[in-house]
Amino acid sequence: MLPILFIAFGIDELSKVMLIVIGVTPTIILDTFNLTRSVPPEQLVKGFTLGASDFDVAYRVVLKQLWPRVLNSIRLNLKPLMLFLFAGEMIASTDGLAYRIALLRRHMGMNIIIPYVLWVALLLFLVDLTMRLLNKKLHPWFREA
Amino acid sequence: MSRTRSKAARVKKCWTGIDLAIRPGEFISVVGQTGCGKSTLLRLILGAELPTNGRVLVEGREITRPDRDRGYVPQKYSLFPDKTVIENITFGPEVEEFSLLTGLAPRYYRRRKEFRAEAVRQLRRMGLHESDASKYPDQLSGGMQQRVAIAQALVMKPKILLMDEAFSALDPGTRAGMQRLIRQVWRETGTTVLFVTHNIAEAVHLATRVIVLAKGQGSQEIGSGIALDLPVPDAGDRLSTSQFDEEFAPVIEQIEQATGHCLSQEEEETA
Repeated sequence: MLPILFIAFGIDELSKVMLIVIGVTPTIILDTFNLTRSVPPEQLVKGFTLGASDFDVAYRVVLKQLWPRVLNSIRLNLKPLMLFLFAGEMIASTDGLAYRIALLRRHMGMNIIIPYVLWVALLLFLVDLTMRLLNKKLHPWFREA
Repeated sequence: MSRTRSKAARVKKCWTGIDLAIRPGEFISVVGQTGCGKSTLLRLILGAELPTNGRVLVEGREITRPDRDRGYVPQKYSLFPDKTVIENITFGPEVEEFSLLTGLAPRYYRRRKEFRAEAVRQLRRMGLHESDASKYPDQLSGGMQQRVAIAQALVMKPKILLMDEAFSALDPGTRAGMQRLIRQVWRETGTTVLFVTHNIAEAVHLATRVIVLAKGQGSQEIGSGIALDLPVPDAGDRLSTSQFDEEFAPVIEQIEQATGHCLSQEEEETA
């Protein structure tokens, strides 16, 4: 996959972004598809009986209920997202945390590698926390199972 | 009218030969054993399913999909969980009058105030408080949720109100309160009500006519049902419990025989 991406998008940032998109998007799409199917059919019928059009039911009934769950799905995909970013940076990059870790690995520079890994973990934790708080703020009705 | 369902290679005949005419303003109860097609009949009238043979007509117009002239109160998932009580009730009027784009117009905000005032009136009519308006459905009890669901349906002024086991999940006390409420709403609005239940006493207690769907003797044959006309009660509630038991015992017995169903002790207590 990586050689094809490098040929198609070069060895700049774009190929790494594409690697992440190709790696994570199918999982999120599949999860969203399954979440869509979990919306009770009674709610769709109810929407139609209240005068809603197909678009209204899709947007105002289904999508509104899906958003918090989709955000949670993205949160769950943060770890593979970071793995793909590391893979891209370690193989073809001239900058970035993973590039530096890959460089220092050759010299066994654990005194720098470990703080870098902790820094990445903290970044991921903060992104996850921000998304969780945002989800709570935007969707006060949503109760996580 | 008939309805069949196919799942893989198996085709199941739900029932055949249903020929039912409902007059405007009637309160119809549909009873029958589990799996006899009560909910299927309701879904056909709703337009959520289409008959394999035959037609469903409302005021001479054939039903092909759910529409705003038929209100719907299911047993579960009757409210949108992402909307507050007031938003649930105003959902219908808002989507009917405003699309996503016109929802940005100043007129929308003026009309929204009117929708909300009407929704609060409906809430009070259902015996709920104005303070409940900002709550989400999961913050309400089952009975309160069903009251909101009825208000949500009635605000659209439907010609027919279709209720599918709407009170089945409620405790006996709440259920009795809801029965009183729906009869009061029916008397006040004159809306035609089709009420599906497996509880025979409840069906007789509420309706002016009971439709019995009975399983047939054959392996896949489902009986076409019988219809019993009941006296329309005067103003006020149905007779007191003892009078009700005395007067309607023969009717309940007749329905039990037709359905092959024995009224359980629990159902008697509930009614």
